[in-house]
Order: sequence, then C-alpha cells, then structure tokens
Amino acid sequence: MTRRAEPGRDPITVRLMAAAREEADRARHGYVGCEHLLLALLTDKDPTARDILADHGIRLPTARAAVVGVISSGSGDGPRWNAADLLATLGVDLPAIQRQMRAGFGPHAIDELYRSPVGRHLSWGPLCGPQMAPGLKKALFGSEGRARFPTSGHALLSLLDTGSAGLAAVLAALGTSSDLLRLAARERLRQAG
Amino acid sequence: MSEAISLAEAASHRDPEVGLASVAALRQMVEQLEALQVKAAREDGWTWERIAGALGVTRQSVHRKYASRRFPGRRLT
Repeated sequence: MTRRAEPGRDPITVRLMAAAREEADRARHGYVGCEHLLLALLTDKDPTARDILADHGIRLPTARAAVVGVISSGSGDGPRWNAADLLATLGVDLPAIQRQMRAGFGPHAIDELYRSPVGRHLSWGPLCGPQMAPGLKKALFGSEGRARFPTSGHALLSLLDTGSAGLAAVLAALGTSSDLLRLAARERLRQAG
Repeated sequence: MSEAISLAEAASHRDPEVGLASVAALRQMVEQLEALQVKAAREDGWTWERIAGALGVTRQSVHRKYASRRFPGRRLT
C-alpha cells in the first residue's frame, strides 16, 4: 500500500516506521519486522537508543549483517523473500504490473480497493508491498494503537517488550539479549529523568 | 538456525520452498487484480451476472465472493 504518514501520529513512530520499511526494502525482505525496527533505531536522529545499543557494541553495519543472517536463514518473524523477487522466479514482473495498475486505476488504487466493499475482506497481497509483522505493530503502536515515544529510548523499550523471536535471534547473534538491553535502557531513561 | 540461502540460489536448485512461495504470491496477486477489476466494473454499473461471465465463473460464485460486501446504493443484480 502507499506509504503516507497519518496525521496526528507520534513523530518518532512515523520516522521509525519509514526507516524500518527502508531497511526491509534495502535487504529485499518479505516483511517489515522488529528486526528492521532495531536498525531504524540505529539510524534515527534521536541518539538515545543508538547510544544504549552502542554501549553493548551494537552498531549499524554489524546489526544489518546480523539481521540479514537471521532472516535469510528463515529465523526471522516473517517471509525471508519479498514478493517481487519470488514472482520474478516465475518470470512475472511485479513492478511492471504495479506501474500498469497505477496507470489504469490511479496512484492510490490499492488503498481505495481495501477500503471499498469489494476489498474489505481481501487478504494481503504483493500489490500492497511488504507486510508489517504483528510484533512491529505492537512495538510501534502498542496494544491500543496509541503508543507515543518521548525519545527513541522509549521506542527501544517497547521493541524489547514485544517478545519477537526474530529480534531475539538478532540480539543473540550480536552477543546480547532483550533482558540486558532492557535493564540498560531503563537505567539510561531513569538517569535522563 | 537453518542454513542461510539466497533466493537465486534456492530458485536455481528448484527448492520447493521457493516454488511454493512464488505460486502463493502469484495467487494472492491475482486475487488483488481480480478485485480491482470487479470494483471498477461495479463502479461502471456492471451486473454481477456480466462480471461472472467475463471472469468465466458462475454468477453464484462471484456473488458469494463479492456481493456480500455491499455497495451502498447499488442493487445486487
């Protein structure tokens, strides 16, 4: 689906969601998950989470390599391969179909389809772009869909509380764990007041 | 952790996981394209019978699939 920021959303949430999508696209993964949110926190302009992660030896290049390793081995939270690449193995050109669809039905055709009576119960499909993993939604929006993060450190805490198996595998590959990072994040945020 | 393998590598070895996932993606995309065309046809005033004929399926099957998702102000003919 198109990637438009919704009005009224927490700015850190909007930023992190966009950056997580970019990380998933860059690696050509089939979903956007907690693993990509960890990378988004390492690229965010608010340094709070990045500093906490750096204290545990986690930096962007090694974290990206760990995420690729975990997801390409099939241990991530979603499909390791994206739909465009899968369809290409059949000789189907998804970007060309998407271009044709936008030309014929308009730039927001997929959003409009899913809001229409015909599309209301339609399942996710390749024309939507990568799916968001449930853990990512929980981390970014909370259980009531209204999460707000004063700093990226708070977003890191929310991420660590999702119980994502993919994230746990990435953190293990980086020599740490959710529990260790949670303690450090709480301490850092407490000190910051 | 299972062995990391690239999509190109897996596809070249006819890995069933890639083959099945590719077909699943194709089926999901066809469902989306069909729904887009059905929506456009209904907006152009097509009846369910005419849509079913164009899709090569029975009126009942297209009605069952889409017509319960009511179009406000449109008669389900």
